[in-house]
Amino acid sequence: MPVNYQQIRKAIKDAGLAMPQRERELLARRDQLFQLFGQFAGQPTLLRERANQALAANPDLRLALPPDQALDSRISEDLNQPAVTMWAADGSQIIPDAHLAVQFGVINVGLIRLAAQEPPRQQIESKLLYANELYSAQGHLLGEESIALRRDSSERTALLKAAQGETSPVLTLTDGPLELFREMGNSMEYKQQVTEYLSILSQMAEKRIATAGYVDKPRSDLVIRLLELQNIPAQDLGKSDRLRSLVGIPDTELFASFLEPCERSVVFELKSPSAQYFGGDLAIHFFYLNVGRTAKAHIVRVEIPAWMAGSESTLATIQHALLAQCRQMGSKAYPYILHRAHETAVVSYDERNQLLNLLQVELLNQGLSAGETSQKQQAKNLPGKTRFGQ
Amino acid sequence: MNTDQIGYLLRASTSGAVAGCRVSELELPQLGCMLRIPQAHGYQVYGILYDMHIDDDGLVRQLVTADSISPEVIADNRLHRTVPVEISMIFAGYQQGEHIFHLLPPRPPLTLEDVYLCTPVEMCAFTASGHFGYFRHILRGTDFPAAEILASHLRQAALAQLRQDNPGWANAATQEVITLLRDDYPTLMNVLAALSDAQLMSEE
Repeated sequence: MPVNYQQIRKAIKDAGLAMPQRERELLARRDQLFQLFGQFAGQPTLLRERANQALAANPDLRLALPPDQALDSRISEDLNQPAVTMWAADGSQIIPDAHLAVQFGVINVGLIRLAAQEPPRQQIESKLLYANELYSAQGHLLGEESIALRRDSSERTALLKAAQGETSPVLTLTDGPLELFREMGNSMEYKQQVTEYLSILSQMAEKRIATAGYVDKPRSDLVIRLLELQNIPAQDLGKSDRLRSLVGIPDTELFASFLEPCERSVVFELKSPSAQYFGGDLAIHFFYLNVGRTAKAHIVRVEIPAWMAGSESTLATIQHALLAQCRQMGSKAYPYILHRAHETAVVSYDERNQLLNLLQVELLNQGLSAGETSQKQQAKNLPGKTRFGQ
Repeated sequence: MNTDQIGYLLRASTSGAVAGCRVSELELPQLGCMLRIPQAHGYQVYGILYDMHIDDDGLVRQLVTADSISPEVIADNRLHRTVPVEISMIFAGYQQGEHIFHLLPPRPPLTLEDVYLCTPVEMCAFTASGHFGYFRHILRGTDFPAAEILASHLRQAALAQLRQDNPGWANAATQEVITLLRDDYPTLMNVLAALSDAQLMSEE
């Protein structure tokens, strides 16, 4: 029996009993949120001042900084936007596994290009991580976070390489935030990867290659945190990250309440510890976009660098291009090009095993040992127990 | 890929094979057409196409729910997505050197062999050789509509023969079908009805 259902069942029952109470609390918080929003949505300067005070007291705060526009502004799609060439990249990876016979990693980036009246193109960029490349400067085997960081950087590098050959306006897209949000603190490796990543973004900005990060089902509460500050006394702003009154409500709930299908919000600036690396032209901005249908809002967050955020025509182009992509996917709105990039990039478990075999064959050809799977892994690979009746 | 090549062999048995091709190559073959799979030493296997299978997948199912699908998305799906069209063929005979036999091939071709569409000249050479012995391979078929496949094949072969100054081929082929099915009235009627729909005689 894989799970102790008796224990889990009790936990589910207990959680179920607590659900109505939690729902009542969330309801009260939502009322409070909409009151705050009604009161302050039209006062962006006041909100901005308050946010700046809080940031001065605690620079590690994570929140949205509003523009000089009302927060409840709704910007419709401009259907007369010119067509742009789109490139999307998505990455997939094989994380080094110490239990395998041979340690190796792979970063795989799938690229798709779509342009009106041109044949679509796809590319795959694969990088094998082997031997010294598998270890951090401190000698640790690269882990999930580290590989993910390199993958994010590889996606953007591949996009720059692909898009700089374009002669017409181009929009490059990745799935997930533009911000490198990884739990690696301020490690040397993180800083090094961020520096490389920023260099790529800078080159994109210089060449005016538009780039965006598309976050489907965002759970962030950046605007909520901004509004929350209004409830906190000035002397307590420094500890506002611990004085949360609207926990559990994501921004999407707020924007779903007033953004009609195909409308976007105003553009906010993202403030966070990791966003501090992104300054000037590269400062991370974002807007929310309703890619859903009437009475069925689906709010996504789109992250862009500052140089794009200041251009209304660029924003209109992105909004239209993303919505056009989402419309291709029918009832489940998501940019078609991103799905295809993912489909192109994804590395399956079977492929990992094939690469392992190739490496082992090469080692044997060189007269070296092909390594040995750990005994723990060998035990795990044994056929599972057969249950009665199966 | 050669212009007449339609794909590569996926799997084969003694009586037939399945080839895979990209959707973009689907314009060439048609039901009942003749295919050939060249082998080494002057040996090649002939087949008759009896089924084309186009699978869907999760993404295609979702895309069809869109109000309109852009030409780029359609092109991307047809060019790049790995959904091969499966082309099934029954073996009709083989060639060894100069000789064509309407027998099942001595051994099936191997996976990833090139599969070509027969040119009208190649089709004429195969169909005019011997005495329609390959019809029995088609008529024996139980997992495909034999009458329809035969009618479609005869229509294409008759047209090719007509252009090669062999107008009597269609009549002789029809007589052979009647002879082969003389003891199987329901199938004979089915085949003759299909041949009537194929307007085979009007080609003469």
